[in-house]
Amino acid sequence: MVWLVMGGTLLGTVLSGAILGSALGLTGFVILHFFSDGATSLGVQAVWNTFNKFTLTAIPLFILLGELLVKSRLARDVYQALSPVFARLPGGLLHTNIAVCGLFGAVSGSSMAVAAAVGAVSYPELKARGYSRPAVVGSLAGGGTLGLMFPPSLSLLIYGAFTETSIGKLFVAGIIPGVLAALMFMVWIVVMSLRTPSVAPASKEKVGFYPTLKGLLNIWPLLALIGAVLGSLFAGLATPTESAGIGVAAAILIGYVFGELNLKGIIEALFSTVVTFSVISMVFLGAVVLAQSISVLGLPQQLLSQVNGLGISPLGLIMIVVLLYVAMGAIFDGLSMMIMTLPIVFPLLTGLGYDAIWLGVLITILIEIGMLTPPVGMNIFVLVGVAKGEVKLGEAAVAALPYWLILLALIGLIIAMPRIVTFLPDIITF
Amino acid sequence: MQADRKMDPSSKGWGAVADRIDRAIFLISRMFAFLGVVSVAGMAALISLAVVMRYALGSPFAFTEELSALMLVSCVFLTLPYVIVINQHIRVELAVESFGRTARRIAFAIGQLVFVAFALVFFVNAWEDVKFTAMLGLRTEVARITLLPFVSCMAAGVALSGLIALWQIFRPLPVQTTSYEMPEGGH
Amino acid sequence: GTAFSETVNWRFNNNFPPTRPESAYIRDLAKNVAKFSNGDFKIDVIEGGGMNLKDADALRWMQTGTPEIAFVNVAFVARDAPAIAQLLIFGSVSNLDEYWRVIPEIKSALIDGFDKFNISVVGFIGLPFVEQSFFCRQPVKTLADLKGKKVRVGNLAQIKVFEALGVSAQTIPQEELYTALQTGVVDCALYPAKYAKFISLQEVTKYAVYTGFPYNPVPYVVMANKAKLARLSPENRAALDKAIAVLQEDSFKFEGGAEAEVAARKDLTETAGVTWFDDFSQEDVEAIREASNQVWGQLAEAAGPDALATHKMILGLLKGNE
Ligand code: NA
Ligand code: NA
Repeated sequence: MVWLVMGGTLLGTVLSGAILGSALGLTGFVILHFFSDGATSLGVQAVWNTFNKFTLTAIPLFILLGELLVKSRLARDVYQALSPVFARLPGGLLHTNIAVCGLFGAVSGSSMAVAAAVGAVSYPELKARGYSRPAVVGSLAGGGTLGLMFPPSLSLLIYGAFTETSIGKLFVAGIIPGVLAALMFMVWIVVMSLRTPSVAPASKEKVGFYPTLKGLLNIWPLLALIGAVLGSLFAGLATPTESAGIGVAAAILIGYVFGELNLKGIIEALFSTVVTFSVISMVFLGAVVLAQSISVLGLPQQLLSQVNGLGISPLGLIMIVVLLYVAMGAIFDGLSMMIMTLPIVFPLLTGLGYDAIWLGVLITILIEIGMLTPPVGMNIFVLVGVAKGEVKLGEAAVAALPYWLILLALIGLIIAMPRIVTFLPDIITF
Repeated sequence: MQADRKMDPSSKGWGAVADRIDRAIFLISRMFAFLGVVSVAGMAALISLAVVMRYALGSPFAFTEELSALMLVSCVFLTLPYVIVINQHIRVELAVESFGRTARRIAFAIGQLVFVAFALVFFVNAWEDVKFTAMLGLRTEVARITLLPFVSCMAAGVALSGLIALWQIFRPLPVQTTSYEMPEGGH
Repeated sequence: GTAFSETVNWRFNNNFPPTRPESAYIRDLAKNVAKFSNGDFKIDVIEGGGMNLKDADALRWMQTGTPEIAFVNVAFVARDAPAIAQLLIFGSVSNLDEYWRVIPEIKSALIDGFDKFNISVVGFIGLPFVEQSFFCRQPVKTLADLKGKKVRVGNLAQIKVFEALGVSAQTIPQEELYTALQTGVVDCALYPAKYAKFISLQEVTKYAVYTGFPYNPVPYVVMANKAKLARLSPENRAALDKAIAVLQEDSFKFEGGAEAEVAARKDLTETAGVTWFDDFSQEDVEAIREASNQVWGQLAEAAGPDALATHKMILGLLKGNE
């Protein structure tokens, strides 16, 4: 019954072309009102708690970092320098999206923050160079998923605390699947660019080896920024969230001294940041109300308990869990999905002999799949926000589909060969 | 959409009043957004200063964590009205794109009403929070920061957004603007 | 049940992971309620925070009737009700003797406090006595060794207690604690040995020392929505009360706590190489207690005259029988 109400309200509100966040949120309020005795206040409480969170400040700060790099014109120089390096590789600068997302993934524990940070710099620059906008957005939405696979990772931290599993081992376990995902993303970029060369225009000017090398010196501002962020983290000066603040301070300093950043540029960057963040927040806000309305009903836990009683084989059960997560991932943001299901999924699957570390990585990849699944795909929203609506939600979702499929293939791979995940944590002791 | 706009001032008095209201909405929402900008700037400054303080004195300000989180939540709601005015929010327009003019107009009105209804429910609950916070004089747990201004930002931002969305029903179909200029009525 | 009785379904919100002993108590409670009511009264337990309701908001969501019943650690409701959250603070109580002396007064203060929010207290769950230790990156054996270190604690009272002792204390979100200790953003964390493995503390800190004080042992409150509770039939209400009585009987047994602490420390040493130093000296323990009592008084004063009166009463009980 509640699924019918949800489906109907969502369809009606979304089809009218309403602001997506309000359609999701109103659906949530309707469910809270009719199925939880009018407890709509729980939706507002959940929204307040979602945004009143220190670790979330990393998202606007990383967006601001990117905007400052663009406004100071240093981003232009960086991509100018990188362009000849990637000239021969089909897909060109699209590959830098994956690589830089991987680097930022080592700083940030959230995939939205990674997609936002890299997107804010890369989208305007690649657009200006004639790259296909959906292709850029797709690669960034995909690249962002590396944020949860490379340590630190918010989902693995919560999983570890919840299940009493070694966080160190979980972090290490995510690395090989993360690298595999990155490589597969790059292979897809090559395939896509060979099939449709127009998505990534070939660099026009032929640049020789030494000029290329000399030009590469221009990427130092980017390296310095990454150094400031990574450095403050690994030197023990800042927590992952604080390192985003350090990055902003460094971007202002470098942009002012070596770039063309001035007060006007800073204010413009700030304005652009709050607008982008507000676009993302509006959808997030609606999604939070909707997720709250479902989670208070305890439905996912009930559903899983029923599945548990059916006497299915271990492999069959893992398939069902994967399917369920992929389906739920369409509507729920990953972390609330994990918290809703873990109390049943964890004892169920580890009881059947599945490895706890392996399961943590599996669930993290499933969460990332959810980040790319519409209608509530947070990574897609982040990029639509960063692109200031120049790429429509539908286009972005289609562009992200190959990355979605790659992650699904990765799930198949680690089910078939669990050693991919368990190999590293097994040889490392803490 | 442009034609739609030009037809509007046919009744001159109403057109002039409506334009004036548009302008007022634009200015007010932009002022709110500016406060949002101040919040983000303050947040960035606070967090980087806290790192310096911890390095220099061994402990950061006790209020960094709570205050920056509150600035974040305020920023979200302070910017909301402006982003509605410049029509940047994500909509699913797959169905609407195939509609004719009248159908489109109707769908737009329905869509706006969805937002208005959402904002209304949200505001009613947020307003309860405002009263509860004021009545008990609530503060944050660690730094004892007064919560009322921040909870009020949430209520005010949502209320203004709902009113703007309601007003837009009676105005020409909005055009998405990527600049930060006034999207319509700004000459 | 009779032919006319309707089955009542309640949701129990449990924010603890299913592996915690508290969660086992709640599952037992649900089973007993069903048993004692002959199946007329069913409680669905939603564990692990699956309902996504935060402890800090407990006094708000409980009033909506969603969920119908829940339990909460009152230390987390400090924003909405500082008076309830500070009935004891870190450093107030160091052993079970002191604990049993103050517990009746604390229970009645909790019942009154929740009533002000229009919420019914239906019972209590004994919060196990868990000793709080410092887990550090470098050897720390005394209070003096802590000076100059960056210390992560859990709440305002703890920050103030350690600041009063000249130690710079701060809060860091739980999600960032592991990384912060790994990289050295903070040097030490105040945490119970029994729960250290939940957040893999043993991987990032190799030295530990017991402070002489347990985690704030104010009992968990089992609370129910007033309207929903009033709507229960007398039979169902009796079944609930009977099941709660069983829960209280089970959960307030603290025997075996000391052995469990020893086992937890031994496990951390043997499986992860954590070095345990001798417990804080008697002088250090007394210094903490003195600082704590001072801070406790200030906090109670800030929370209002009722809170101050309750504080004085509890402090008197603690000091009275020495
Ligand atoms: Na990461
Ligand atoms: Na999704």
